[in-house]
Amino acid sequence: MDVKVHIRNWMLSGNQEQPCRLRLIMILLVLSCVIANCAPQKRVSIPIFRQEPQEQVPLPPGQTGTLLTSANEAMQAGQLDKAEMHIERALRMSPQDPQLWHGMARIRFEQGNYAQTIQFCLKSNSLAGKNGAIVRQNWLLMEKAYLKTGEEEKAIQSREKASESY
Amino acid sequence: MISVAQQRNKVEKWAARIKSMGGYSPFVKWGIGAFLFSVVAFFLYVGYLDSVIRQKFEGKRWSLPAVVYARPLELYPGLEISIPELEDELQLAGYRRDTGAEDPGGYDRQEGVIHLVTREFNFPDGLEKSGEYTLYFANGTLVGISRTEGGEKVDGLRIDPARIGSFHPKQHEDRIILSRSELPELLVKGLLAVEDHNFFSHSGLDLRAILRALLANTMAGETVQGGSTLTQQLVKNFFLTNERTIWRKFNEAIMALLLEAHYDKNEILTAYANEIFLGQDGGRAVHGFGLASLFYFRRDLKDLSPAQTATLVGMVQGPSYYNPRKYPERCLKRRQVVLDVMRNQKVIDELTYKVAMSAPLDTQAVTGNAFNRFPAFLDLVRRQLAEDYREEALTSDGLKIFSTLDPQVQKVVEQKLEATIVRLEENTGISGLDGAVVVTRRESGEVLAVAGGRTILQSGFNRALAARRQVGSLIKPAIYLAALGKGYTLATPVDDTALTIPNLGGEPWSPVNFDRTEHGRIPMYRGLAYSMNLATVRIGMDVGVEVVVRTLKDLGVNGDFPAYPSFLLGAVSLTPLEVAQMYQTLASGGFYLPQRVISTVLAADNTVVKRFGISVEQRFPSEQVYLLNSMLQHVISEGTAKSLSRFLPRSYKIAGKTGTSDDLRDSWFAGFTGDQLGVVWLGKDDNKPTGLTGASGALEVWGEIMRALHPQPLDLLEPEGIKWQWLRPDTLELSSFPFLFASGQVKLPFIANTPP
Repeated sequence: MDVKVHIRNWMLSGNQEQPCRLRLIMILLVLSCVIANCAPQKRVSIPIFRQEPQEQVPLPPGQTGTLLTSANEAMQAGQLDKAEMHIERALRMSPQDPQLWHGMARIRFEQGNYAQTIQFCLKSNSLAGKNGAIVRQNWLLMEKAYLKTGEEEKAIQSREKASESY
Repeated sequence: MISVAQQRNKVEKWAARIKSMGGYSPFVKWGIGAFLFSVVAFFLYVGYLDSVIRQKFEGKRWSLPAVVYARPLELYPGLEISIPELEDELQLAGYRRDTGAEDPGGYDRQEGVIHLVTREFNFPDGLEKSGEYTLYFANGTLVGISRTEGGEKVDGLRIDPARIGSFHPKQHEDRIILSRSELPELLVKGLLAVEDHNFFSHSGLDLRAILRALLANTMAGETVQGGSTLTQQLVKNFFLTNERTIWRKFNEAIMALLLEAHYDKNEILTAYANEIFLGQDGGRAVHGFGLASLFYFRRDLKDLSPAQTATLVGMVQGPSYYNPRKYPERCLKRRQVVLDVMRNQKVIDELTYKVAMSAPLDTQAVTGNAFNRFPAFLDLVRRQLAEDYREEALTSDGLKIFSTLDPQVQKVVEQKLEATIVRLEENTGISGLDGAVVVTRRESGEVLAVAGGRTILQSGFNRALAARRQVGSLIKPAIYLAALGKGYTLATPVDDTALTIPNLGGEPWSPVNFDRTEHGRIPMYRGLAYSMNLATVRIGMDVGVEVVVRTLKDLGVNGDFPAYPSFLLGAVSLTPLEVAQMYQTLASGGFYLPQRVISTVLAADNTVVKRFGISVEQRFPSEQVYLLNSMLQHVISEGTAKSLSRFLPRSYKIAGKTGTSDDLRDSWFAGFTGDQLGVVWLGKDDNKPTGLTGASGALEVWGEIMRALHPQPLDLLEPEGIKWQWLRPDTLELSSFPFLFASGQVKLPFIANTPP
C-alpha cells in the first residue's frame, strides 16, 4: 500500500478523546522539517534504512550525482514516481553506474515490489565490480526484500554475502 | 383526457372555420398555408441546427488529441555533441536562431559557444522554468555549461522535447490547444479591434457591421469588407464550407445566434483562437494561434512581440494570401494596417506602435520540423498505447505521451539505411531491396529509433515490427549460450565435420557450411566467430534442441518454436524488433529488460497517469553471458564480421553476429557497442534472393549507422571468478602464459571452476 496512505491512516486513527495528539505530531513534523531545512545541504546520498550502520557511498560526479540527490529527496518525501524518473534520467547519462541501479532497487522496495528489488540489486551488483560498499548495500537490501517475501533462508544467505563483501 | 365527444367538437369547429374561409381567394388561403408551413419548417430546422451545433461544439471543444514527445535532450559536460548536431536538435525541438538569444526558445551560435534560453516545460517529474545558459564546446564535445547571467556553473540541463506526432482523428490537422487564460491580452484585443469590434456586446450578429460592409461593398462594386462577427467566422470554420451563397450566410447567421445563446463569450473566443486556420505546412494544416506562433516565429504565443502578434492577426483574413514566407511584402503591408487599427483603438500606445511599425517581419524558415516525421516510431508508440488505452482516449483526452525516441539517432538511421541500400543496389545490380533497423539503449532497453523501410515518410508496411523473416545464423548465440550452461568452454574441442541427422518420417538432414568446406577440429569459440554450421549443429544436438529453444525464450523471444534440428541453423522467423529484444538480454549481461518505447503518460493537467518503468530480470549467470559476449567480439575481431573494421576501429571491441538465410533471402546484422544496440535487416518484400550475406549487406548499414552515432567502446565488465588462458588454436593446448614461438595464439576467458 502507498506509504502516504499508511501515514494518513495512522494519523487519523488517533483516539477521539485525544484530538491534540494529531496536532502535536503535526507541529513536531513541521518543526523537524524546518530544522532539517536549516542544515547546510550536503551532497551525500542518504541511506534510507537508518537502522543499518550503512557507510556513505560517495555520490557520482556531475549531473548524475545531482539527479541521484534529487531522487533521494523525492523518495524521502514519498514521491516515488518522481524519484524513479530522476533515476531514469541519470541512467541515460550513466547507464553503468551501480549506484543508480541500487537506487532503483530502493524505490521498488518502497513500492512494495520485492521481486524487482532483488532483481535491481542483482543488476547493480553485476556492475559494481570491486565497489564493496555498493555490493554490501545491495545484499543488505536483498536480505530485507527476502524477509518480506518470506524466504528466510535466502535472507540469511544475503546477510552472509553482505558480511563477506567487507 | 379529452373525451371523444370533445375531440369531435374541436374538429367540427375547425371544419367550420375552414368553411368560413371560403370567402377568401385561393391565393390568400395558399399563402396562409404556406406561411404556417414555413414557420413550422423553420422552427424544426432551427432545432436541427441547434442540436448539430451543440453536439459539435462540445465535441470540438473537449477533444484534445494525445501528443507524443521525443525524449528530452540532456546536456551535460562531457557529452559528445558538436555545435551543428546540437543546432539540428534545437531546430527539431522548435528553437530559433536569434542574435543575442534573449527570449525563451532562442539560441545564438558563436565560435565554440552557444547561448541558449530554454522554454518553460512541464516534464513528468515537474515544471522546469525557462533559463539562460551558455554552452562551451571543444573537439565535438560539450565541455561546460554556465548561467549566462552571473556565470554560475551548471551540472546539466535539458531541452524541452520535440513534438513528434499527435493522435488527432483528422491526422492532417495540427493544433496546440490553449485555454482562455493562455491567450495573451494583446492578441485578444488586437483580434477584436480588427475582426469584431463589438464582440462583447453583440449577440452573434453585428447588424451595424453588416450594413457598413454592405455600403462599402456597394460603393466599391466588389467585396472589400466583411461584416462577419468572430462567432460567424467560427461557425463557418466549424461547420460550413467556403462557398459564398445566401443559403450558407443564412445558416451561418442562425448558427451564430444559437452558439451565442448557449455559450459564454470567452468560450467562443477560445474556440475561435484554437480553430482558426492559419496556414499550411506541407501535408499538415496549421490551426490556431498557438501552433501558428511556433510555426511562423518558433516562439510560444506568450513570447510574441506586438509586431508579431499583429502579423498573426492580419493573417486571419487570408492565411495563404498573406503568407509571410511567400509574400512578405503583402504580409507586411497587412501587418501595418493592423497596427494602425490597434493604435487607433488604443490597444497599443504610440511608442509600441512606432517600434512595431519599424520591426522586420522576423519569420523563421520552415526547417526540420519533427512533427509526424517519424511514422515508423509512432507506429510502435501507438501499438504500445493500444494495449492500455481506447482509441477515444487517445484522440480526445489531451494525454501527453513521453516516448524514448532519440531524434538524432532516428535521423541517422533513416539517412544511412536509405543511402546504403541505394549504394548496394548500384554496386550489385539488384533491385527492390528494402530494410529495417531498430536501435536501442544497451543497458535500459529504451528504443531510440525505428526504421520500417527505406522510404521513411511512406507510412505503411513497418518491416521493423511486422516483417517476420528467417534469422539464419543470428540464432547461434542461443546455442552457444546453452552450451556454456552445459559446461562447454570457449576452448572445448568441437568437430566441424559433415553429419547427417535422421528425420522421423522425412529425408535425413545433412547441413553444410556456407563455404561448403569442413574445418575439422576447432575450439568452440571459432564455431561462433566463423559461423560454422557443422560445428554449431553438433553442439546444438549435443545440448538438445529443446534446451536451445528454451534459451531463446529466456533471451526474451516469445512464440512457439518446434524443436526441429533445422531450428539450429535459424529456420525460425522473427521481426527485427524481436531480434533486438533477444540481443538486448545479451547486451545487458544476461538481464532481460523489456523494450521500452514510452516512459510516462501525463494527463491534460500534467499529472502522471501511467508510468512505463524499467524492469529487470536476471535470466542467465553473468559469467556465462560474459563468455558468450567475448565470443561475439571474436565474430568482429577475426570472424565473419571482420569487415566492420572499415567503419569502426577494432579498439571499439564491438560484439555482434551476422545472419544470412537460405538462398541469400535475408541479410542480418545484430550487435552492440558500449552504449547502443542495433539490429539491421535487408531483404525483399517478395522474399526473393538478394545476393547479399549478412556481412555484405546488413553489416554495411549497421557500420554506417554506428559510425555516425559516436559509439562508446564496449568494455565488458568482467564478473568475479573469470580467469584468462592462452590457447594455441592449432594444437588446442592451453597455458597460463603465452606460448613461445606459436603463431595465432589467443587469450580466452574461462569460468574459474570449469576445467577447460
